[in-house]
Amino acid sequence: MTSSEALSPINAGQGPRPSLSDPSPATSAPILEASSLVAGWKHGKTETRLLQDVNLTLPSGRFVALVGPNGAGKSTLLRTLVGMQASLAGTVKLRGAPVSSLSVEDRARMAACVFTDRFDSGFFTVFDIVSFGRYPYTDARNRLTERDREIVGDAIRETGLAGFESRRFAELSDGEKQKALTARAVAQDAPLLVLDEPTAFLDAPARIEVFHLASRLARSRDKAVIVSTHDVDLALRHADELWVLDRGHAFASGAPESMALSGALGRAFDGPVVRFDPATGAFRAPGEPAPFAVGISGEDPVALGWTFRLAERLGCVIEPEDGRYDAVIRVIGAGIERAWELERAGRVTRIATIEELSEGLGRLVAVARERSEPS
Amino acid sequence: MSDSPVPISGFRAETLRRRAGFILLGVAGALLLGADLALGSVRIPFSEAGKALFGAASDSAWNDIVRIFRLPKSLTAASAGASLALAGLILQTIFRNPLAGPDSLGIGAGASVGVGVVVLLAGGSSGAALLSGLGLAGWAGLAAAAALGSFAVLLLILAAARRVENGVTLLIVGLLVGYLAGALVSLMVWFGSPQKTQVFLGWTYGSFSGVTLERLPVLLGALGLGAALTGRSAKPLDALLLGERYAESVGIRVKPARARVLVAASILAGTVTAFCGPIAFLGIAAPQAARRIFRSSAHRVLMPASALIGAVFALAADVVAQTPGGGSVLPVNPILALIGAPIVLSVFLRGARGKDPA
Repeated sequence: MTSSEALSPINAGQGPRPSLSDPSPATSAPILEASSLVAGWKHGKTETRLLQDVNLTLPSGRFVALVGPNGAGKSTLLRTLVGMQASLAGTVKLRGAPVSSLSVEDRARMAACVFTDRFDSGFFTVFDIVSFGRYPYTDARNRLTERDREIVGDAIRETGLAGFESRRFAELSDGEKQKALTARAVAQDAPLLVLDEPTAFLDAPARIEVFHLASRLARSRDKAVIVSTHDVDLALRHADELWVLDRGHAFASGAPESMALSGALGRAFDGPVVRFDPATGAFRAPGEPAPFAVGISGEDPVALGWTFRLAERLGCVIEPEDGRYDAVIRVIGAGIERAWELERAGRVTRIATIEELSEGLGRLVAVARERSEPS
Repeated sequence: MSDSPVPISGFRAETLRRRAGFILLGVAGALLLGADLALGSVRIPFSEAGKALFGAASDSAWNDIVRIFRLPKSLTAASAGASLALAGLILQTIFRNPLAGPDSLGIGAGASVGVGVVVLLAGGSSGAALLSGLGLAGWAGLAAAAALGSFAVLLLILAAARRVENGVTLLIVGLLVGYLAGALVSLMVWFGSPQKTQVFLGWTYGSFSGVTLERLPVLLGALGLGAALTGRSAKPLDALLLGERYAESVGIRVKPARARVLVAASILAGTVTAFCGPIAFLGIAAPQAARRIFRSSAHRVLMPASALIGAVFALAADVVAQTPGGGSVLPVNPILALIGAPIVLSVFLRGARGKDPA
């Protein structure tokens, strides 16, 4: 395949891509392919091989999240995949064309990136920033055509920033900035979209919005989307696929659920204190369990769930297999009528709020811990 | 700012603002040019100064004064101001620092070293003959030496910029490089002959009047080359505002693009310094004023705007320099500092408070 064939469908603009209605040979190739890839740096004659033997394939319409602890090589992998850093061995192909054979301009039409780099946006408006995405297509004087303006407008609407066009970029919130930068990448109209830690500076709802947007762009625009992130729980919930790098720089990929079940996430993140809990898909610092076992029962699943979380937070052993409980907690009623019963040594105490339960149970656990400690 | 979902009205208001800005600046430039031609040790009426350009003034001596002496000086001032402003704009973008400029980064000092080598060390002829007796080729050589000195300093600063992230640190590096260049110049002055030293020291005061009609083409040619190189780089310069990685990711070849504009900045700042001496503040202040007046960060707007404002500033300074009358002329540098320092100070204070885009 020649690179011109590979590039042909790029100017198709938004809407369903030709690959959906008319699968030509050029578009049936995966957007991104890496085989036996070795990534790292070269300083003079010394090579630092950070990632070895990475094999991956990314078709269009798929949203993958790249996770791994700091220093595992996420950024290095991303830079190498989009051709901004030369690979030490192996190949990376964008739509079937080796990335090393593509010019900077060709690469810009193949892969659009959002970095964490901060910059002084001066007087640039949201529209100005998003139109930076049209650079690979504009003439030497960088004039936007009507078509360019349409594409920029579409990208702004797609990312939920309609009405923000003439606002100064510098005046946006961090979440809005992230959307505008994503819109810029969308306006670049490349089949591959790479977002490097887009959730880094955002509050919780804005983080979820980023994942939601990434997943929507993969579907509505049939893009291949890579998001590197530290928000493993969000990645597990939203991504179609997970790429996991561990501290030893080993690469694993698969469905998010499979990465949790197979222990790949645990291998990547588990440390002496914090562990990945495959049951809940979250990170936990379990600590030493207290010598205090509780049984928990009740009807209302939500209240039951939070009562479990409470006991867990206090360090209780929950529902031990031998069935010997130091206390039993029952959730009774629902809504305004909801209450808790704490049964200990045959005595039942009725407790009205979960705060009081937290205090009471906390005291019991503390006493148990003190008693068990060798004095 | 209007909140209309369709930004058409915003675009129109912006275009209007730009047109009005360019027209006003053009008018100001023309008026100042007229004043610059009319003012001097011999006062020539405004209308006669205009006629004298075409050799049609009622007093034939006025024709000669305007055409041989004042026009080259005015053109030198305008083109030097425009060039320093363009160089400043480039440096502010490349170093992503609103306080970067030919003088604050020590590039003028680098040019001084180049000039010092030519004036103080080279050749055996007496110093007095050196600057005034220099042929056209000699002046081109001087300009080239100054541009080389500028470029050497720029490379040094660029290497330092890769290691320091902080913009203020970069300015300190520029300051130190400036001291270093100053030390080299001092040593050359120490070992140079007294006549040569006197010529060189006269040059360091900064003046637009040293360029004669014959030398003017050399100056304008070099500045035209620098401006042409700059003009072709509006697109990559815009992209570089977002940083090198974004620039590369939208298809800009960062290294050659950066090298091209830095060569352009060296030619612009170096040539002006060779012909007019080290001119302070213009290079920092003019691009700042352009951003404020045109409320834009796009180089296709900022380039002509900065150049025009630089020319206006320089002409204004030259007009003010003539005000004492009676044959005495003020030096240009202090006047420019009086205009430029408050602008730079306000930029610095705004930046410190993190307000308003600079």
